[in-house]
Amino acid sequence: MTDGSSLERNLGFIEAMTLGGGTMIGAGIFILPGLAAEGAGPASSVSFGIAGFVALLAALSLAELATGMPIAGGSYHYVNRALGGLFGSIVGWGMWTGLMFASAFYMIGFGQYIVVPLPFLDGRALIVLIGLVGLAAITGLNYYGTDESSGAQNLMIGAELIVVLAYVAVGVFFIEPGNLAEFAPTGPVGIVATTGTVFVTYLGFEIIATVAGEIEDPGRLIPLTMVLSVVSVTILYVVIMLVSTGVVPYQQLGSSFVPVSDVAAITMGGAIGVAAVTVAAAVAAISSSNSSILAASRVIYAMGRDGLMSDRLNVTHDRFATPHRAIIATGGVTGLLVLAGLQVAEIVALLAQVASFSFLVTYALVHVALVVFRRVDPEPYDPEFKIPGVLYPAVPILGVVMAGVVISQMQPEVIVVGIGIVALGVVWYGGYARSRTVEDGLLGEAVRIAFEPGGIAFETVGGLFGQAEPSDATADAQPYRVVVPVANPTTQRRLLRLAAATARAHADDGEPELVAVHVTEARPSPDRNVESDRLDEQRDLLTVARGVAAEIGIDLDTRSAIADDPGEVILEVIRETDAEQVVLGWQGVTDGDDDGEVFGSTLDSVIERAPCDVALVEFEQEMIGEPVALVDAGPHAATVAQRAVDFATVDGETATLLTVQRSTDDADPVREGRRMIEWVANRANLDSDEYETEVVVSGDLSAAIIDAVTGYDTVCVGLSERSDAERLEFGSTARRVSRDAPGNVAVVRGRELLEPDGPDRGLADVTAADDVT
Amino acid sequence: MPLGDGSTVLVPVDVSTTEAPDTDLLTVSDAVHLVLLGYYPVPDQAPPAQLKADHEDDAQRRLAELAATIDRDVTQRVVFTHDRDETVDRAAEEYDCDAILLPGSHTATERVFVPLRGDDNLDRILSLVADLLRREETTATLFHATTADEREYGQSLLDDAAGRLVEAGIDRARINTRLATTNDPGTAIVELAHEFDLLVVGETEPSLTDRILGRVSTRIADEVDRPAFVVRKP
Repeated sequence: MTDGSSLERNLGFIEAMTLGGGTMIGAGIFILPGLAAEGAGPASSVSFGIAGFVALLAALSLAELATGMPIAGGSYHYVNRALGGLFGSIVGWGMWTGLMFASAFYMIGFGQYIVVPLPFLDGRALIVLIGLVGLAAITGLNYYGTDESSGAQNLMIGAELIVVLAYVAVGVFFIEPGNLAEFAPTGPVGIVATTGTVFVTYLGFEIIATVAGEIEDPGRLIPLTMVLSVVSVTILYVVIMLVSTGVVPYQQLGSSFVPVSDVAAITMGGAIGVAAVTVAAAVAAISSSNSSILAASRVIYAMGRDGLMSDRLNVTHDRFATPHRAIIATGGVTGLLVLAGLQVAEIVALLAQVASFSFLVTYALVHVALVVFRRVDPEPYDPEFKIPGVLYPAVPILGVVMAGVVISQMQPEVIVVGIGIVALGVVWYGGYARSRTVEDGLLGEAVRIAFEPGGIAFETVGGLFGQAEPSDATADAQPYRVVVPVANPTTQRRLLRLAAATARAHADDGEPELVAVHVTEARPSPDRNVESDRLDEQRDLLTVARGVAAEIGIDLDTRSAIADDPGEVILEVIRETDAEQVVLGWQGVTDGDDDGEVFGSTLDSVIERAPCDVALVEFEQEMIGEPVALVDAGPHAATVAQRAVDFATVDGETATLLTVQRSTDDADPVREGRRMIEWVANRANLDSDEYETEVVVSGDLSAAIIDAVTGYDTVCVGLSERSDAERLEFGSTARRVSRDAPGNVAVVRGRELLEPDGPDRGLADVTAADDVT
Repeated sequence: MPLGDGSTVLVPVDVSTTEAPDTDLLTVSDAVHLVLLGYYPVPDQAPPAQLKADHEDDAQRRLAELAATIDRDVTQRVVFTHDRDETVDRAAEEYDCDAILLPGSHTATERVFVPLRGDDNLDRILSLVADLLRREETTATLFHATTADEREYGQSLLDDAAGRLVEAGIDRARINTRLATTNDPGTAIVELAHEFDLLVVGETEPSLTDRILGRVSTRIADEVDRPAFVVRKP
């Protein structure tokens, strides 16, 4: 007995809070007060309040999405799912670069806190150098991998929190009201502009969403920890700004590299306070930078999963099991950003603002994604946490507006760099990712299937952003559609090639088009990760399907759904697309499997009820090669002959129509056989040059059939020799061929049954063959 | 109360290494149903799904190879996890396991050492011991450490436990009992355990220090370096 494999959710409340809240309090608290005071004076506390509010809006939307789809990747994943690969690429790159900028920001802050208090050290070069050393240490640590480091992380954040709380508690008594008299020296514009700088600190709660796939009890803990961490951190920052600007005049604070140390020098007993703050700041910078690198590698992983990033970057280390390339890439670029500190004087503020920019864009798109998910309400999306009715759609709308307002007040160079990052995402999508993703397939289609043509919102989105399939738009004449359910990665390529061949053979009847369908069987599972895993599999299959279609050069539409009964979905797709054929893969006859299902419940219902031709293909070999149609007087004979001729085009062969006749005394069996083949070919509208004829005469029909088809690569055989529509019957000839023939076997059922008025003989003969076992 | 038959034992196996685990232990008793938990440790840096995508086949194969060496039906499960201990706990819960087998470097399996703490969890412990004793060459030593004034209770605990094993059809000759008077049962157990091949210990409610430093039963297994069946609390 094998119970398969699963993933573990190991992150509890404390871990999630330390990841999220820890990163937020993190380094920002020690560096930002200076920048904030410079930008808005004591009113910078208001800036933190605004930033916190923007973050809270994003946290609400993110929490709903994250509980609906708790898998790795965070914002990136939701945007990619809702708005497609273009926006997925923008957000993915935005998050990655944002995290790198934030990490560089933390490390320069780290350098400042180490260098400045030591009187014999000075200079920007040293700050940068120490930042780089710290960064190298973190990158190295992550390269080798850490195990249950959350213990150490918790300890570090706990110590840091104690210092911060002491700073606030003691500092309150040292506030000089005079310092706060000029509360908002830069006015509202300065306050909003400062919001753009300090927003960097709110990257932390995103990290909770990024690791959503690893959080226990995600429905409860994700919203709780996100909202709680944002609210508590905001309150803490507001108080810290009031204390800091209350103790030291904002002008002085603003010009300091180590604002918190300056305040601590006054409030916390001079050198002792400075030492405590220095240690806490260093620890905070390290842990925040560490969290950013962890989150970055998960974003890269999630992008790779969706085909938006090269798999080579996502290779895990053989020994350390870490995504070492992603970590090195993140560390490397972060290092370059830290190095930029040598040239750029205001590097800290710029890094912070660019990181903020990236995440403001990300969150704005997250709000849009939420609206799309709500409008479309796809079946697999069933969040345990929903933004309460009164707040929706106010939260997402306000979220987008606020992000726009904050961005609008940023420095021009930041906006330029930020737009550059967005452009990078767009260019990347256009140049690299577009051909590799299935972004326009999944959700929209799943929605259309599950909710009939009511997927209005989605079609609008698709149309707006130009992701609608061209074949949908230009479908003047009804295309000749062949539905191909894909489930098995090893045979789906051959299946698609066959389907393409048969669709093309009917090009006269309409533009050939394939519809690849993948249905994930809905199995209720408490382990949502497994669920997401299967969605990955679905994506993989459809990605490959697209690749194959592009190779062959045929239009391909993809449909996917999660459903209890895959057969129903396939039937629904056939009906909806008005398909001419369905071509299914099949494992073949399994002996002694007698559970009332002939082919398996899914296949049974499709075969029984599909309003089109059905071909059930069992692959035994790579080549489709030379096909043979077993022609008899059965109801599907014409369709069987037709399919064999279609399939012959795959490898440019000619199909053979073969019949086996019993040797008799009173008639010429060969002539009878030829007569029947001609009759069937006629019914199938085949020209005589499209096929070859072979008549085998034998006393032992059943053995002769197997012998006769053995030389062919692919055997097409009718589903049942009896014209019996109400009862599904897998004819014994078909069964035997499937079991004994060495080549591929296609069991064919025609939409229209051949009237059994055929050439007077033959029918009895073939029926007789049924009795042979 | 008669001893139930057929304990279920969870065997955590690291499936990330190519090193084959020792399989002697797994064949120690046919009466025990084994749940092979192949865990794949995932560093903080990677989401479990990423390693699962890369290594699932290897992990499944290694576990299947291990399962194939055991001559009967076992349950197999592969898990990708950041936290081995938590996963072991959860899997033990899920499969309703009576005990967890912690590996040791010692390979012989004949002499089983069973420190008993008291009536707590005694049924499960004795059930497992009885299962292990189904193999003829195995002997068990029931042990209890007590203070001087509670020797009487200790002796009756041991006699009673031995009696129940006999009732379950075990030859009394293969059951030894030992009562020790000491104030430090932990050390006594660790010292004595070296004389045996295999331990069966009951899980204890972890105290605060245990939570930080690891469970007592785990620590005994670590220090003793003998394989141990840690019998879970019901």
